[in-house]
Amino acid sequence: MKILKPLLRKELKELLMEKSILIGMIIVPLIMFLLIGGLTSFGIRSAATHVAGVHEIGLVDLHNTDLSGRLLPNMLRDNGLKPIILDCRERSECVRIAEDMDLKLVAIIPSGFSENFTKGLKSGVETIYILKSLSISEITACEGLSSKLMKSIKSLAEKIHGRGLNIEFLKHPADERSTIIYLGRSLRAPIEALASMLPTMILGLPLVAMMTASYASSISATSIALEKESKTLELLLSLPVRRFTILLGKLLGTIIIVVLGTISFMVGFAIYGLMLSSAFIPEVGVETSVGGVVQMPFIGSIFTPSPIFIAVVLASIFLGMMMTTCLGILIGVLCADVRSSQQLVGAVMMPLTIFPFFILIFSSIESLPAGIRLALLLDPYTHFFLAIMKGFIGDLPSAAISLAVMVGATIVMLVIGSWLFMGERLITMRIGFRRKSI
Amino acid sequence: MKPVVVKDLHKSFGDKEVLRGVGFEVEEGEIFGLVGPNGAGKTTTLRILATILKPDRGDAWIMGYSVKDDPEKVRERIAYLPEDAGVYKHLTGFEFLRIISEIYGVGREGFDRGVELCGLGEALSDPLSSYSKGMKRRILLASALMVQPRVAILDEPTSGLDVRHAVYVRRIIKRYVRESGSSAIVSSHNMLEVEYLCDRMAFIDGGRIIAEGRPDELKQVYEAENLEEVFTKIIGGG
Repeated sequence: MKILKPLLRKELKELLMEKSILIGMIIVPLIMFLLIGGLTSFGIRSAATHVAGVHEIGLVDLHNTDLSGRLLPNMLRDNGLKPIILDCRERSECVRIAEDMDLKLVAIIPSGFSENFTKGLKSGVETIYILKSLSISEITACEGLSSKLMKSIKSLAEKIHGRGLNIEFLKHPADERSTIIYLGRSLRAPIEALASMLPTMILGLPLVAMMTASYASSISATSIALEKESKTLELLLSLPVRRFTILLGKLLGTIIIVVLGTISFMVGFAIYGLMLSSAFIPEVGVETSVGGVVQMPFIGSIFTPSPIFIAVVLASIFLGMMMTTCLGILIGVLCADVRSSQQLVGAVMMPLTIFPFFILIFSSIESLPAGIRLALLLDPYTHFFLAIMKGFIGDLPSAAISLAVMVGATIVMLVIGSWLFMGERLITMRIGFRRKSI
Repeated sequence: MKPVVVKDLHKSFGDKEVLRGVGFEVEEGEIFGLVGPNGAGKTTTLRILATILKPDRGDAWIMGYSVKDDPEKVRERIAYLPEDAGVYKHLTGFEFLRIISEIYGVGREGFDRGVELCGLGEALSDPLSSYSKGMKRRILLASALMVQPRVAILDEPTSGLDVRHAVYVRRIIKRYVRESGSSAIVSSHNMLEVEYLCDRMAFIDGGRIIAEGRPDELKQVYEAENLEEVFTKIIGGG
């Protein structure tokens, strides 16, 4: 124990004197989580605001009885919902009116509802959720509306039949048959199923893609920094080869690995899709814990990717990797050795990727305050996530814009990297995380 | 035309002025030694000649081509062995020599010359990471000379080598220059090496050439028994 004390003191001093550890392990997480915490709490707060308070929902009463026209609306009001009676017959008409009135939920009370309800027989309520985004805040808000609606129907059942009678009916007086509408696409599924699956589906993909792309920056930064560290750079630069050719060689070398990475990624993604689809896609539909049936068209539309979606994902991954490769080249030129380059890659890539990733989990880009939205949109990696997410939901114009931004960012980084590579800066620029002497 | 002409080279890194008007010339078939203490400006001068750095002022011409204006033409006519240069550890000796011969376009003949020059035999099939410092230096020198440069720029070619490898390296350099009629510029701290290798030499200190001549001439002028004594008389440190 006597020997351990000075050893421990030495270790702590060595580690805390190391700038990279101090910055990477203590300062960066502190600042990053502070910022991420602030931004995500904004997302959660906005989701909570959607759920809390009184919310307007559209109510279409196809039965027109005292129960459906007076008692149910009263019960909805008691549960924090403000029913707006919509005068429509066709579903598309109801959706159009609801969209005009900025309503997230339309509940359709079918004919025969009151008879069944009065007799203690399970009824069905058709609900239409109109989503503006696929962010967690939006889906959480819709989940809240669904919960309040079903609670209202339960309370109505208890009011009519009193407690203790037909327990099964009182526990589950009505089935909710939901349709989710997003960007003109109609999906038959309970909102809860979407809420539980969406993060994995939408965010799992870019996260894994991002990890693969980060590897590309590591490779390209290392390929230059290693030349400096192993002292082969001077020899390389004295060969009768143009600097641009050397740079091109490095880029192509990395790109080949990046392409292999993309192929590996896509194979992995295909396996992931197959595994998920085999887990979620039943032959005729599967009963969910919240009631209702997850229909084949809904899951199928998500897990059977369209050729355009595959193209968008491939383009995003490839451009993401290209962008990251160029960033890596830039970092490699700036750094004195492999260790410094790896640290700088981490320090640059972490905030550039983690911020948009976390923020886009909880909020849609459209719902963010203008300042944060602008800051995010200036980060090219936001577009990496956006392209995949927009491609996923079939919003091709937005995906194309994000892809174009990524192309622009790649070109800018390539130009700066080439400029640094061409002159003697390659030899003289030395960003290093040197250790302080104790 | 003199193979190497250096005139009034100036170079600064930030506030530090490393070269303050370096100038010398190297004749055809001559080995020219550049000698000086650490930080004198030897490596910076050689880097400028190898077109890795650009001079702030002044210029140098290799086979008539300016290092400032025609760096690509210069690179086609030189081979540079940097001080303490590393190797690509995943390549074998054969692979390394083949890549260099392809870049210089010297073909199979050049490659065979490299194999012969380094004298590493079967070890050439091994990855360069397994080579000792002396072996690495030998293969790097072989790669520089197998392309038959008109000017070989060698920065401390025997630094840190044991006697066996150092003797081999010196012998190869001398043989190459004598047989090819090309020129070489060699920087060194080893006065015995300079005396053995160089036809002419220059002492550099504080970014300036402070003495230049044949080793024998310099010994005579400074009334010294050997070059080490000349060094201490000119630069100090005795």
